[in-house]
Amino acid sequence: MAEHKILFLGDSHSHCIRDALAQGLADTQGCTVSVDRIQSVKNGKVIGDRSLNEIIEACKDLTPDDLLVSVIGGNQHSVTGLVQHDVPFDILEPDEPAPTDASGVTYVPRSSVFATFERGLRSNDCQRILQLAKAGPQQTVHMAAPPPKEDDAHIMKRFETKFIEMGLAERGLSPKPLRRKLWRIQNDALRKILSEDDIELLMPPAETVTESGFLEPAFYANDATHANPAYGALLIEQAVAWIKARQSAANPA
Amino acid sequence: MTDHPYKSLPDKAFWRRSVARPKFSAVDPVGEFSLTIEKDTKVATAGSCFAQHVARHLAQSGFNYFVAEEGHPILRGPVRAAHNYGTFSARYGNIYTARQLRQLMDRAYGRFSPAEAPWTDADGTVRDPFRPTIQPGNFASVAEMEVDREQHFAAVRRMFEELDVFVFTLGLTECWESLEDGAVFPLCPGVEGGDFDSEKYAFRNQGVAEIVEDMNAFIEALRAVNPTAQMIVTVSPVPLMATATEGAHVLSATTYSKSVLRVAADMLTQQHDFVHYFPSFEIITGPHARGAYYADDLRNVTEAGVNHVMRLLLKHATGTIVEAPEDDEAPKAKPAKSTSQSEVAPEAEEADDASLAAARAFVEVECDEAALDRS
Repeated sequence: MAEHKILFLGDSHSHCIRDALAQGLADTQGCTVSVDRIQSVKNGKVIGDRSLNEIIEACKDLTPDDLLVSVIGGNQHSVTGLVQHDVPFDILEPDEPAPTDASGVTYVPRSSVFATFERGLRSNDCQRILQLAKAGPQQTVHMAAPPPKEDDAHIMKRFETKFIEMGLAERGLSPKPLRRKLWRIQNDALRKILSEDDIELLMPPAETVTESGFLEPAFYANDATHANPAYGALLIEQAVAWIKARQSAANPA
Repeated sequence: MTDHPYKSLPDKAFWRRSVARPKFSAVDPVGEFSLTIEKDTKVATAGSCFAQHVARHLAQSGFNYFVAEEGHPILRGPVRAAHNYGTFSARYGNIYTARQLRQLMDRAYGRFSPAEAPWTDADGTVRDPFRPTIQPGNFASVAEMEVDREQHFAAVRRMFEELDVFVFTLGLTECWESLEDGAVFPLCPGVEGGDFDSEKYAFRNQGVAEIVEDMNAFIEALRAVNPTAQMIVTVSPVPLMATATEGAHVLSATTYSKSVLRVAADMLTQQHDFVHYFPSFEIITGPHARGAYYADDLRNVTEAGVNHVMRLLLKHATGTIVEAPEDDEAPKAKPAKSTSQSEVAPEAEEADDASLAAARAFVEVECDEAALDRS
């Protein structure tokens, strides 16, 4: 059996994977797993491990038996819908009945929201994913960001500290169902864009998602939007299972 | 030599002096135009494709182009434009006929509820039969379409009640109507959604009397909710894409349609001192232009033609003088932009609104802090 290198690349959602590796939480089944946070500069400060160009260069040393796992971006849904907007809005899902009382809320057509996500993803995250996918002979998948958190109290703990001055605590949170709808639309847009280049979008492991479609509290990081190392460990095992299944399919004997 | 009435007439009354002799870009067929548009005058628009150009130029010229249905701020500017927010003052799409305008008013105020059911495409997405191309990708469900329609009607009511000037471009006389209740459609069912059924739909070609009646019904309803509203009526110079008049040639049908609309417009200005005719049709189609204001398809109007119209509208309605281009610069045969040609407004990523900016700041700080161990 070939040995596999698995390289996770991303932004803030890469940290739960890094911590899982550091804490030895994941069964890597002999695969060599590494993680990089792609460098970016914010307020004059460099955040991250290696630049995108350095990582692209490194991809040239990978082989077709290796796997690049993108966890790039992922928080557009939170930017759009974690905090209650000044103009409260909602989206109807295809199987959702018309509201009995639509007063005070603007219903935004789902395809318009989809187009906004698609436009943003095409101009940034998906460009980076495609650059990396084409940088070497390795296989590439993208993992969806963790689902939104259902526990308002957990999220609001963040608002009660340094964000009070930003007025976020007073704004409050968007309704939970809206947060989930935006996450789903983000994933639908990602799936559409990535499928054009045959890049698979992997959804969060089933055990990390509640019946109602939110992140299981056991996988909450201590903030509003991220998951913890236990979640990161499951992502590593998901990637290991994916590359091994590919190998088995390619070599059925 | 005897005196006669023509001796005292101004140059504009004479063809040679006002049409044949001037540079074609200097031809000004506006006879009288008593309406004044100030910078803060709320101008709303509706009509056929050509009305989109009026809307675009008004917005670009610094006038108060009134948009009552802008789209939610979470939608980026280019997406809003592509999804027909701001194309007209509300998201009704092209209103080609007087009957369509009258029915829009009645539907918005609950006086008419067409029986036509929503149109469902093969992929399960849904169209509004009365604005079938308004939502790229269509609506996700009947419920979503109906909610959006109610929001649209609220915006239409606000527009009619708050506007100062309503610019309406009459486009067509030909339309398709429901045999059940007379509801008219902007497009023949089956062209962009829906299924054509001759048992359900019929062709109608409006005449002058019918158009004047529809427009007067609309005007009465408008003045009922907005007693000081003024109107500018124009006739679209864009020929018919196709005619459904039995045995007719499309050119002949176009001539009929535009003639009827032009007569109806004139009758309306004679009946109401608050209805003003602006001759965009003449500016584009007149012999002075020698057809140069039409694009290569001989149908769409070039940007130079639109500029001529808007230059004269600004001159007569606002007193703004915009220099005409030199005639030796041949107008380009490139059609002016309109969303009916699947083009969107110029790319312009606007900054986040306050809500999104605050949310983005929060999420970005969270993402930066993810480097810390907070598990």
